Amino acid sequence: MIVVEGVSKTYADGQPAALDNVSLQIADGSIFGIVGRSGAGKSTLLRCLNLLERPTSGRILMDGQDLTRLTDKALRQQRQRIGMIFQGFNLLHSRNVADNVAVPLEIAGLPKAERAVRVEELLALVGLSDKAAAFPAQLSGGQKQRVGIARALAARPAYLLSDEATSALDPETTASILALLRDINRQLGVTIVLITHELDVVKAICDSAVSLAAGRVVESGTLLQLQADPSSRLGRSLAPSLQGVRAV
Amino acid sequence: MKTDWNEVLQLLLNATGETLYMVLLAGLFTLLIGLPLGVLLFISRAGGLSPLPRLNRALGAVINLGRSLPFVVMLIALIPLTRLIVGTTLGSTAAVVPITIGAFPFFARIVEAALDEVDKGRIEAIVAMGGDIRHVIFKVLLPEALPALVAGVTLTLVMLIGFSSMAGVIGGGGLGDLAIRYGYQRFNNQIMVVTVVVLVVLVQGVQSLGDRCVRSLAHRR
Repeated sequence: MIVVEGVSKTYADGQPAALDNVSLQIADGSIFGIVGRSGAGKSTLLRCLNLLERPTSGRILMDGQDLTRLTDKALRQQRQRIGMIFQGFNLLHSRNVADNVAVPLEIAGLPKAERAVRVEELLALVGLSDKAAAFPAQLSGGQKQRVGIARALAARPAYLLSDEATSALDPETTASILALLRDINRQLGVTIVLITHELDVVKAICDSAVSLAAGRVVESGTLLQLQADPSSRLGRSLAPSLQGVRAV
Repeated sequence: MKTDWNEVLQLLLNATGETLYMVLLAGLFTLLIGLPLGVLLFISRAGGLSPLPRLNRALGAVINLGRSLPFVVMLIALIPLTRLIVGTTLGSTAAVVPITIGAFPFFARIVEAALDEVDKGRIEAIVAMGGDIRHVIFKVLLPEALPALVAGVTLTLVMLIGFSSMAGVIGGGGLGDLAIRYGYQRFNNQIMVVTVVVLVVLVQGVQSLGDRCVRSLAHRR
């Protein structure tokens, strides 16, 4: 479980806070969506969850442990339990697909033979077994994101953070990546936290969502609660055409 | 004036050997000093991976000092240091000291600029998966910047050929020395021309070899 407690983030004195006293809880095994316009603080909030951004105040509790109080070494170990995927994929272009997926395993100090076995499993999971020797520049956007997902899952993380992972992809590819994320959530029990500016993504796979505006939480709840609440703007925008997208 | 081509050939071979010796040895030391220094410059920047702004400013000042001196002046100014390190101030080996000192600040800046071109998202991905600074340097920065680094080595080698041609000032020998002593001071135009041709071929060779390495590294990226 991830608990965000009163987290604020200010980049420079005198500037408006990127996050303003944000509190929320993310249940284990759920898919949690963070929505909002650009500049609402989604990305900052997500990056606070693995301390790529350090909150100015407040706490990030992951399984009861306050990440903001960890030593550098303990934080690096904790980060091995948190996978992350990115809008721009961020694959290493000097390595082929298999070696990209192996990076977290190298960092974890796994012996070479075990790395090879695990990489094979992961590539099968994301449907890219035949691309092991390809280089990122030779892949399509959807394939790159699949490699990104395989890499993020390599060290068997409990959590997966997704930073606009489908925003650079066309609708069909987006649907297939979302289906993959949902399978991963169901089969491996990985808790997924995703940020997106596309409400369709939330409709398609999220169990719970929070909407941010100007660094503050506007609404939050499970998808069912939000949709059932007639006063919820987020619920209203999530309501229609649900079946079609869910069927993907 | 009649030219004894056998003698010219002998002079030319010796001088080319001296030039290659100075360039390769100084190139090795330039790489060994400049590469770690460039990495240090990059990671110690304010807002960098391991910010040490004071160290960064101090290194930057020393490097800029090294780059602002004309090489001929440095060659002479460094004579006491050369004596300290090599034990003599004359000859090709002695020339390696000022050549290295003239070149490594330049190469360190090239390394810094090459690392700066590496996509920040790739660095962040490694940090997010629990990587430490060594992982970032050896798994992201150096491999991802490799084509740019090789291009920088090529540029530096060509510059070293230029530096080594001034080594004659302290008796370092080499092609530049040959051109000045025989070609210029003894009015021997044939030697002048032949030496220039060898220098041009040398530079072209280094450059095209470097370009080929960069292409073969970059073709899949």
